[in-house]
Amino acid sequence: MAVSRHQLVAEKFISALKKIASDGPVNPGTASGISSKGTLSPAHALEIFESQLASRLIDLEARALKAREAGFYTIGSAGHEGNACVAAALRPTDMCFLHYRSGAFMMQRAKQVPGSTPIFDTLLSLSASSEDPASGGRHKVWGSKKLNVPPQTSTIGSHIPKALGAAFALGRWAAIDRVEEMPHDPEIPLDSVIMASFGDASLNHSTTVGAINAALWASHQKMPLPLLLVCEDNSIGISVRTPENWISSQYQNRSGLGYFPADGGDIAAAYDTACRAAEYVRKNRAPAMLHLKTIRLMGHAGSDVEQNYRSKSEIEGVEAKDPLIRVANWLVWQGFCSGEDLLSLHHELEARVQSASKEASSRAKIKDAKEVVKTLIPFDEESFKAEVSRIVAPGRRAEVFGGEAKLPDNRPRKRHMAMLLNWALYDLMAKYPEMMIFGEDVSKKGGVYHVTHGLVDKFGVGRVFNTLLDEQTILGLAIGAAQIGYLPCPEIQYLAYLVHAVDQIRGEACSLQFFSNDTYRNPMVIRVAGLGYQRGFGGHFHNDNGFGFLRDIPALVLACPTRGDDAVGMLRTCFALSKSSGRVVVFMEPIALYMTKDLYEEGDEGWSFSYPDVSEHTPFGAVRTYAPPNPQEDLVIITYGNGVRMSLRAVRAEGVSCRVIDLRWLMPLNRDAITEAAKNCPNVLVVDEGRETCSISEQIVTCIAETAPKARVRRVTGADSYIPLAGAAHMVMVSEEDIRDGIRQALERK
Amino acid sequence: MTNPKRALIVCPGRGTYTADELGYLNKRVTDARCPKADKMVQDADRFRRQQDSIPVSELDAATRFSAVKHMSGPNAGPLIFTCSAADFSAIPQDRFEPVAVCGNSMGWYTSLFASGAFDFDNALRLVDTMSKSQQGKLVGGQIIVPWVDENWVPDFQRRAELLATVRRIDQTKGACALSIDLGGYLVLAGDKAGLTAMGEEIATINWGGRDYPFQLAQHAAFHTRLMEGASAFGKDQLADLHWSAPQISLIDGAGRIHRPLTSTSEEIFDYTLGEQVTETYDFTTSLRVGLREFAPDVLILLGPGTTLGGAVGQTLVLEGWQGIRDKAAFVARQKSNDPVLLAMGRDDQFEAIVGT
Repeated sequence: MAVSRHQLVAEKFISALKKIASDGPVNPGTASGISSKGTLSPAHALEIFESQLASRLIDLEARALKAREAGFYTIGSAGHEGNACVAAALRPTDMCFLHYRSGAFMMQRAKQVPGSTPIFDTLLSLSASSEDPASGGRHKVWGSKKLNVPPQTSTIGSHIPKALGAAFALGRWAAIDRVEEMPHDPEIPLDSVIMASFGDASLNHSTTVGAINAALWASHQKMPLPLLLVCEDNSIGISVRTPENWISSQYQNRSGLGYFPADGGDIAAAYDTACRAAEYVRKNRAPAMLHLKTIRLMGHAGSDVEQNYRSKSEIEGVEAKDPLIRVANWLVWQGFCSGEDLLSLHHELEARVQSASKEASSRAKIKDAKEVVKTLIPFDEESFKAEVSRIVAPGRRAEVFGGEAKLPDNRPRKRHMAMLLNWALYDLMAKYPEMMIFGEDVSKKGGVYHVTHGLVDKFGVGRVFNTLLDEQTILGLAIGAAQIGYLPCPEIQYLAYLVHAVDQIRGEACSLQFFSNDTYRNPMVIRVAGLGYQRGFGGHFHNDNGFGFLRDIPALVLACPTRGDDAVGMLRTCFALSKSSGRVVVFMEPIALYMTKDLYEEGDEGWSFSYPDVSEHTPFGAVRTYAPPNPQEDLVIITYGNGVRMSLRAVRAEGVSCRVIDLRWLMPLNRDAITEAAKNCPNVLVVDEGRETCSISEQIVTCIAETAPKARVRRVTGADSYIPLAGAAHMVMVSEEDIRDGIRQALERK
Repeated sequence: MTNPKRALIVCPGRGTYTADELGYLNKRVTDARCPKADKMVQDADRFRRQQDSIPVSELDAATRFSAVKHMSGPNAGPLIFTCSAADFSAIPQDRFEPVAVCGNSMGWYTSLFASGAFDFDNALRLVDTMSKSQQGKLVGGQIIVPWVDENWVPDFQRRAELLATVRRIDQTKGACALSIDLGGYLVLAGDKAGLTAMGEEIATINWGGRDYPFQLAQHAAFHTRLMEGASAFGKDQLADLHWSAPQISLIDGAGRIHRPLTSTSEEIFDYTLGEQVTETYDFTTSLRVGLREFAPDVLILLGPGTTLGGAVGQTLVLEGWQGIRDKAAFVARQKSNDPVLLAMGRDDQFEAIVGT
């Protein structure tokens, strides 16, 4: 039977150890390029080597587990063990967002926190046990709350924006007005470093490039940003080679970025360089890149046949540079230990890993789907109720609004939604000192629609600030800030722009509770202006009526108010939900309704509302039903957003008196309310301003088909089209006339 | 020949030499399978005489157990240590390979000996000195209370409430703190006011005919800040102790692993005479780290006595080790041909270890 490559790597390592033990070490200066003794003490150097060796043995055990069909992940850390030096150079409170080849890093970091059990925990994770503390068996991740390592999954560059965000948010903490009112300290000490590691191939990903650009943007303006980027450069991304000197040529002379190159196989130099890089970031509160040269052993993963794209001599050439052999030789050369010591260490660690593996792989697995989703949608009703009913001291409110007389409570005139939302944000900023508002143009300009008007003057640039024009950065900042202890309220200027960055919600924010077994949360309320009907202005990207890209994201809450008082109540609910349960919320504000005051006639102010009392909120999931005094029982309209006001107008114009239900909460959808409405009415008209395909009416109709099959359901939807400019826009969006047609057809009127 | 079983060695603390253990040392000395025991006892006796203390062999040979004599720290510490050391030396290494050592409280000192970090004489001096570190005055005391039920089913809410009570008393009525996290028990310690308040506020429960919490006789407020004087005393008296690199991994009372190649004397001394004396001793975590990171085939609990076996069993259950998820499973496993815990203080299990 052919010997696999990983077995060869293991055998070569043992042979090398035996040779060192029998013949003595070779001069590392000539043989392996290890430069000097550096500052590592013998004990510290040996400790790092032990972490590296444990990581390698776990990689090998992962392959053995896979062969026994007891392990489910074989992307390893072999060749990248130099990252243990980075862990040794950092403090255990430095928050790290890690690359998937970080086994040695984790072994080393765990040594800084007594009581850690990294070998066993990793084996639990490899065998997908529900007892895996990192993810509860949901994924093989490097993560630990105790070790300040928020888990990442199959990371390419999607974790760099949040690392940037954590660094930015940490740096900003001291700049917050009334910081003494923060309800808690930051999750980590203020002088911490945020570290993110990634591979050389991932550095080409637009997410990474965008995040580094944002880091430099901040650094250029001297904003504190303690971010250590660790590029673990093994020169290849699966089968694609990284051009020689690509990383150094791109990053060694970037303005505002410290650059520290090191050979990951040279333990002394790697440690000293990592210390210098960490010190640079910690002292200057400025970003730096540690460019750590590594190699990749044993292929990309267990399933990767490296021979298909690398020649045998090339593979053997890489294997000859095995960092563990280089470090072992160096340790003996320095006189820190003998070759026999290292052979014994290998023997002992191997026995431990194999024995622990047997125990770990026997541990419980996830039993059912219920257990899978257990951490996905946390909702603690009691703490939610307590949070939503907590109100700010009246004095503070008066101070925030500029005096008792200016309190919204004392301004009885009815207002449009944009104004009421603006007041709601004042109240929420007062209630949550840890809340931050940021996005494009939200500061002095007050947002395109003035919803954030004046907030920067009241709450300061520490809490209300403009970002650069990159939605990925905005959402990454929200995730990172939330993990530092803020309650972020990012604004995305238009719904279409959210599409650019949706993976930060889909792959990252909403998955955090799932992949971390609910040990980490990133609460946030993302405000986004969306949907159409801007009277022909702006074209598609300012009128996008499609939000299907959000609808299949597990655990996301999608709220869509249609009138000002609801918007205030719902926003309060969203913040309480986010604060108490860590939920990620998208609060979609219909642009066309921001300034809408009237309902039926010009000047009737039928769509203007008073500011709800500060003690009020809109129940999570509850629909609003518009019912005339004696509603007819043969038709009900179910709708949301602009559809609500248009339906009310259409109903009146058509002379019918049916109920109109505003769903308000689009995710999760209130299936009970839909069912109830459809069960009690023979005809249901769903008015959906979205497109015919993949719009929410599909889900509503499905719900009715499943739960109230006797009801006859019709849809009125927009066309499957982008939104054009000017009058043509109305040709592809739902009109009041379309709704009237729908009503007539539903009631079989001519 | 089969491979030796990988064994995690567990060293007991104070309170394990009771009336039933009288003659324990003598049994070891007269057992040909414990060839090192005789010299250990002689060395211990010589040391004790030099200190004008009762020789351990004399304590062991007493016809009647005297709480005052046998349980006082200055006597109990060296006596228990010598018994444990004799037991450790009797483990046949061809059948059991010690992969790591941990201990409970004073058992940490025994662990230092078992790992090879201190030889017998230095370890004995450490035990003796620290046993006298309060210089005749017992500072505070310890009480013990279970947080699992009689079937070892954990009650995490009860645990949290007990700890919250301790914190509250410490802030308001008198010094108290978690002294030892001991499997299904919490050992709580405090000064007089703290002990009184804990006595008043912690409801009594009856477990197997015994009321909890109860105060541990002749125990001080070990592993709390009340021991800062003892820590200073130890540092002053023991600066010249001779240390070697351990040959077996040591797991301390914070769950930190001290490894043969990487331990330093500063680290061991700082912990042993500092943190170990004044901070909570987390035996549960220590044992858990031993289980998870060394994955032993078997646990060997050194004598004297077997009382630590309950806390070990409870920790195995909490950990679900080798499928042991409740007390019944633990008991069944112990009755099988392949018990997971071998207590040298039990004659049958001593025989199973040492063999013929």
